[in-house]
Formats: sequence, C-alpha cells, structure tokens
Amino acid sequence: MKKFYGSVFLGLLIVLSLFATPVFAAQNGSVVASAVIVPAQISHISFLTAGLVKEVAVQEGDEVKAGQTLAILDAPDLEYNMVAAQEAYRSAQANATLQRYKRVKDIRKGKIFWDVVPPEVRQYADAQAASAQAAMEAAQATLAQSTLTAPYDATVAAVDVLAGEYINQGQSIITLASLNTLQLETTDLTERDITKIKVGAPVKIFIESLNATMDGKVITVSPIANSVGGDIVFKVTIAFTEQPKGLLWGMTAEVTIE
Amino acid sequence: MKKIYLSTVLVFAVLLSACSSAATPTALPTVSLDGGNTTSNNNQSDDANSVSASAVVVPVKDAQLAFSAIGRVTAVDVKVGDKVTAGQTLVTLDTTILEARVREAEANLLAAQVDLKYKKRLGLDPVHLETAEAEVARRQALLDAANATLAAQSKLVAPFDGTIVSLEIAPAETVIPGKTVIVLGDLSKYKVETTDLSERDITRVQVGQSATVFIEALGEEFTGKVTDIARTSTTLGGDVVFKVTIELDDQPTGLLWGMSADVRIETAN
Repeated sequence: MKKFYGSVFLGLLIVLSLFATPVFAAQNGSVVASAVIVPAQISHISFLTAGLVKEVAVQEGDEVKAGQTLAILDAPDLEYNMVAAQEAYRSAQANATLQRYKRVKDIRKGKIFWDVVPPEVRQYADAQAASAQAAMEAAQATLAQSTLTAPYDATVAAVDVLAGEYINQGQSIITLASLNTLQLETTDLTERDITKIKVGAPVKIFIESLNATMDGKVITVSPIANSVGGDIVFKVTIAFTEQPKGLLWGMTAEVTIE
Repeated sequence: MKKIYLSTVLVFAVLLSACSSAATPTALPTVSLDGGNTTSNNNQSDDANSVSASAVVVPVKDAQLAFSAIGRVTAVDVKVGDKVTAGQTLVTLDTTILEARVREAEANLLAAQVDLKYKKRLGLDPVHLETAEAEVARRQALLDAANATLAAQSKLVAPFDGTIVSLEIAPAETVIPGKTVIVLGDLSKYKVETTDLSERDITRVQVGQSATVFIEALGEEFTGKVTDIARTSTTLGGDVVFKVTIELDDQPTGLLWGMSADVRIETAN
C-alpha cells in the first residue's frame, strides 16, 4: 500500500508542477515574452590595416578607461615614415628660418655688401615648411592607427588575438561592452503582440537564474521584423529601473509588458 | 499486488489526461502563423475572380547605407527608431589623416602660387611661366581631390527623411567599404509585397486592379491597388513566384516593416 500512496503523490506532484508554470501568461492586457540580457553598448574593435600584433595590453574581464591602450600592431614601416616626415619638417623649417636673414654677398675692404632675399623666396620656404608639417601630422595619425584605444569606459568582453598573430584589415579582435548598463532584448515577441506595446510601458522582469522579479520599462520597439524559424518576431528593448547584482550577459528572462 | 499496479497506472492515466486538457489553454503564447505552406496555387484562389496570396508589409522607400572606404568610427549620432532628415549626419569617422592631407595640399598650392608670382615679377620667358602655371593648376587639382576625399569619407548622411531601422555600428569600430551599417526607411508610407504568388496566377494580375489586404497583426482589412508586378520571378521552396506590389489607399497606424498580410486581388473585369 505504501507504494500505491507514493505513486499517487508522485502523480500529484507532476500535475502541480505543470499547473505552476503558466501562471505568468494568465494576466490580461499584458504581453509575455522571453528575453535575453545584453549590454547597452557593444563595440567590436579592429585594426584598419593588416599586420602582426605586437602587444595585447588587456585581458578578458578588464575594466578599461576611455583612451586606454588595448592592443598595438607591429608597424616598423609606419614608425620609419614618421621619423622621415619629422626630419623633413625640421629641414624645411630650418630652410624657412634661413630665408628670414639677410645674406652677405661680399665683403670688400671691411665693407659688407648685403644680398636681400626676395619676399617670394621667403614665402615659398614658409609654404614648404607648412606642407612638411602637415605631412608629418598625417604620418603621425597613420602611426597612431596601429594602436587601439578604448573609446569609452567599458569592460573587455572578449579578446580574440594573441601577440604575434597576424590579423586582417577590419578583423574584430577585441570586444568592449558596457556591462554596467545591461538591458533586455525580447526574442520571441510576435507581430500579433507588437501592436499592443508602447515605448515607456512598464515591464515586470523575471530573471530565471537569479529567481527574482524586478521592474523595467520599454525603451525601443524595433521598426523591422526578424524572421526566427519561420516566425515573424519584433525585438523590444527593455531597461531596468534598477540593475540587479549578479546579472550576466546572455542570461535569460521572462518579461511581462503591460 | 496486481491491483496496486493497476490502480497506479489508472491514477497516472487520469492525472495525465487531466493535465493535458488543463495545460493547453493557459500555455505561454507561441507563434502559429500559417505562412510558408499556404501557397496560392489551388487552395486559396478557388474563386475564379480573384487571386489570393501571402504578403509582407514593407516601406515604400528604404536604403542600406554603407561607407565607400575603410575608416574608424568616432561617433554614432543616432539610435534605432530615431527620425532623421535628409542631410543629417548619422555616423562620423576619424578624419585626422585626411584633414592633414588637405592642409598639405593647401600648402603645396600656396608654394606653387608664390613661385609663379616670383617668376612673373622677374619677367622670365613664357616657357618658364607656362611651367609654373601648369604646376599651380596641378596642385589646385590635388587640393580639390583631397577635399573631395575628406568630404566623402568623413561621415554618413541621411539621403532622405526617414527612420533608423537598424544600426550595425558602434563607436571605435572599423567600417568596411560596402558593408551596410545603417538601414534607413521612410516609414511614413508602407506598401505590401506578395511572397508566394505563383506563376499560374500571375497572368491574371494586372497593374491597377483593386485588392483587399488583411493585416494579421492589426486584425483588420484594408483596400489597395496593384501598382507593380515583378518583371522576373523568384523561387520559393521550388515554386516559381512573382512579387506583386500593392499600395494601400489609406495608411493604417501601427504598421511595422515585416508584418505579414493576406491579399486578395480582384482579377475579374
């Protein structure tokens, strides 16, 4: 008989667990959807030129400040170009300065004869110095492109390169994300429900992994549909009223949008 | 013992049947669109006077914007859903090098101009003057080219009034020539394009025919007119289909790009 009671109890448990889940959807006038946690801003950083990576200055998980160096490309040619342009500028500048002085044409019996430099020669030398300066600045900026820096305060989400590796032009090697401002994106909100959703609508968010419910609101509704496995879905972005601790990029959530 | 087993099985059977009937109506909303398998061949267009097809809502005007040269993004001035006007800057690139190149070209032009002036003042013979004049013209052209490059590669501007529909770029990212970074759509006006109108039905469809359009998301029917028929076919899962464009007589509110629709084109004359 004990066995019998045990099996009845098991059966009841199964029934109860089945009844317990759909409580979410039972509310009227609201829309329920699955969502995923994503950073508000993500940047996939890459070099403008192909080459060997000389140094990777950050690791995954590092907090970086705006302007901080992330990685450096080995670019000896750009460094030589830079030095050459610098020297060319110095030379042009010296030549321009020289044209400011009167020149001694001759000295006869203690008397000095001056040779006046025509104004055009002076102006020409000045223009050449300006040109050399601009060329040097261009070389400087080109060299600067071989160093990647963080555009804003962020967390290094991924590093896909090792020092010494060859990378292609535009190949994403470091992913930065603002993990301090996480938000939610719905994944299965259909066209039938999208018409009910307005920007600013309050949202109840249930995070499965934290087993906690919190508040948020709709900040954007995608103007274009995505096709997911034959279904037409629209992405709705939801911001937390207060971001909970322990939240990670990629966690799933159930959202109930009023 | 047999009795106990039997009763256990019975209890399970009852419970399972109970929960299956109870759980279905309250399940999480899932999608059950009928798109895809409803080809218009036979099942929809039984009526000899009309042709039915599935369709999708699209804006009348849209553009996929991309840069023509590689560059580093310094600022993204818009976000998805923003309304922009023609000429508005959407994305700005780092132009330090290009600006330096313009300054270099400017200085080079000035040098050539000074050289020409000097040679004129000295009264050199025409051959020398001509060479100097040609040099001025050459450097002017180089400056124009540098300015044009700067203008073309410094930013992305909106070609027409519209809404930012998708944004595939973030600050500090590299733009690849030709890769779409922004989709811009004029969302003030939508049209409907059929997705599964078969070659068997297309011969009966003509520009100007009236149509009724049922938008599933809005649950409403609207009227419209056929404005265009594709000149070439596409294939949809082995079927040869032609895209027919229908413009709505009135623009309903709440339409979004990509919503599905059912259209019925009146082909009887």
